[in-house]
Amino acid sequence: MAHNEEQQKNLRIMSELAIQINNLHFGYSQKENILKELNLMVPEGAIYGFLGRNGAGKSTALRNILGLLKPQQGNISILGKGSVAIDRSLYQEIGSLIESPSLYNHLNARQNLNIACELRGVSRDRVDKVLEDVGLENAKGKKVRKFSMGMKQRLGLAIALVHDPTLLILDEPTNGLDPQGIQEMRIILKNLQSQGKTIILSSHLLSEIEKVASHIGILNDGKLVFEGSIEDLNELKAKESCVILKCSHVAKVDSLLGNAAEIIDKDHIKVKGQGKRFIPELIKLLCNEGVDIYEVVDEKPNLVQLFMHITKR
Amino acid sequence: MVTSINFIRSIKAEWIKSRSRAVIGLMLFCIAFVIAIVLVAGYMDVYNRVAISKNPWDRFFIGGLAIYILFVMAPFVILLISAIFYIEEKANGWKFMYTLNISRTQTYISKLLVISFLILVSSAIIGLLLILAGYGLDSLLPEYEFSYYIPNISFLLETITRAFISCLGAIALQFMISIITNNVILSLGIGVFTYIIAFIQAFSATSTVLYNPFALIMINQDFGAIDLEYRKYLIEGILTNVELYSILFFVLFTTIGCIYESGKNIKG
Repeated sequence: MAHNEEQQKNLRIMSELAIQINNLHFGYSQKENILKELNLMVPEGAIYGFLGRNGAGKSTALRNILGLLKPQQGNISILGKGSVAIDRSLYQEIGSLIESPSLYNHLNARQNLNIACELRGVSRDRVDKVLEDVGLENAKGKKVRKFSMGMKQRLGLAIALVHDPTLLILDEPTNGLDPQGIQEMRIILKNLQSQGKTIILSSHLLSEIEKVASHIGILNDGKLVFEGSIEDLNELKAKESCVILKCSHVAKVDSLLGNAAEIIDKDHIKVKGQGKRFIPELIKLLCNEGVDIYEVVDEKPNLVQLFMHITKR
Repeated sequence: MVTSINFIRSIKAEWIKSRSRAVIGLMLFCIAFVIAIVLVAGYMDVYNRVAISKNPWDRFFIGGLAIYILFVMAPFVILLISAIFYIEEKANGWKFMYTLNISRTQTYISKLLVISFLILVSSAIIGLLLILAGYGLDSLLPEYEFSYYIPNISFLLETITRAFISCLGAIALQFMISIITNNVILSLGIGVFTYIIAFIQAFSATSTVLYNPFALIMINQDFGAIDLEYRKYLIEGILTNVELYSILFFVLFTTIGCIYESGKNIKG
């Protein structure tokens, strides 16, 4: 009975996950394993920011999900139905943009989308709608070779959206975009999420991911070292929060606070701690001990610092 | 049913892609090259070519088709496949095509069919333009007497059809090489090398000629330039051993290419 309940619970969780990866291994050669025991869970309706250093295995993981690379070990489940290798019809529910978009430069935007419509088996009536969605409605007759980098990325996204997929896999979609293009891409992604689409998005622009993602996965050396919602990440950030004090008697403060403190120089000391009452209580304690405090700086790590910290661990 | 719909969709998409300057330009160049040689040769060599009381079309067709089939068709196959691969490579097209609800085998075969169709269309246009070129030449040089005789259309159709069948093996081989090497320059180099070998084999009439798909194009029909010692009719007047070999090569290389492509990891 308990076993059945457990099984049902697992099934329910599975059905709420757009992507679930268990114990995935992949290497281009037998000597080198790019992905090692990768476990990943992307909830439905999320914008999942997939982070990692160059060469961490982000693109390899995404290519495995898409069936462009064949996993050597492990399971991939997409929309609770298994992998694309088992069920090719899943491709009808996935739109993808892997690194640079697949575009035919000798054709115009409309013709490129017509190819995608034919291959996806959808009506060409969708072309105008997706061009409008990505803000390229005025460039439909323009040859792709005359497109800027940003326009090409947007057309690539339009191609990924032409069959109205429920899951979008985007590998570095902001590559080559200027700040305005990045902002526009962010708005497009938010709109897509509001339409109920699940988006998995890899990028090296951590600040961008932080602004757009609802969930984060951090990959390091082929393994997922952090996975959770933005709230989980904020909690982790809070744990890593500290204050930097400019004060007298730095050595005394260090001995008073023990492991929580770390001397920076003769006038500065870093004290780990979090919570609303942390700073006033710390000041009160130090004042009572005869320490003069000249400056208090509240330091909350940003995603870059947190990323460096997690991937170094 | 789903498979055939996928095929049609795939072929339509390939058709849109093939509207490139490289592909159309290459087809036009190949057609213009053959017709220009026929016209220039016909204009300059008129007194050797006119034969009294003989249908001028027969010699004219044999001359034109010999130029096309012996010297142009194989390089055209190599260049056309390279051009189509270049377009796909430049567009990063494979990684998109392999994330579709269409199997890699279907994608492979659709592309191969479109290439074959483009070669067939080019051959047919050359045939049609040969007729027009004959009449054009007649207006300049009435001594040819093209307008007094009826062109032998059935001979023209048969020659083009046989040429097309005999080049199927070469199409499949070059396509497979391009897929496996995944490099336009390398596949072009291998194709040209195989063609040169085929040329030597065909003109020196070696027994290995039947095993080089590029050579099959040259030894299937008699243009009076090559010894056809190894060509035999399996069904009299219908099917030659060369055509059978070409079809078998087509099936073999397509199967190898599909198996290779289905198991390939797409890295780029």
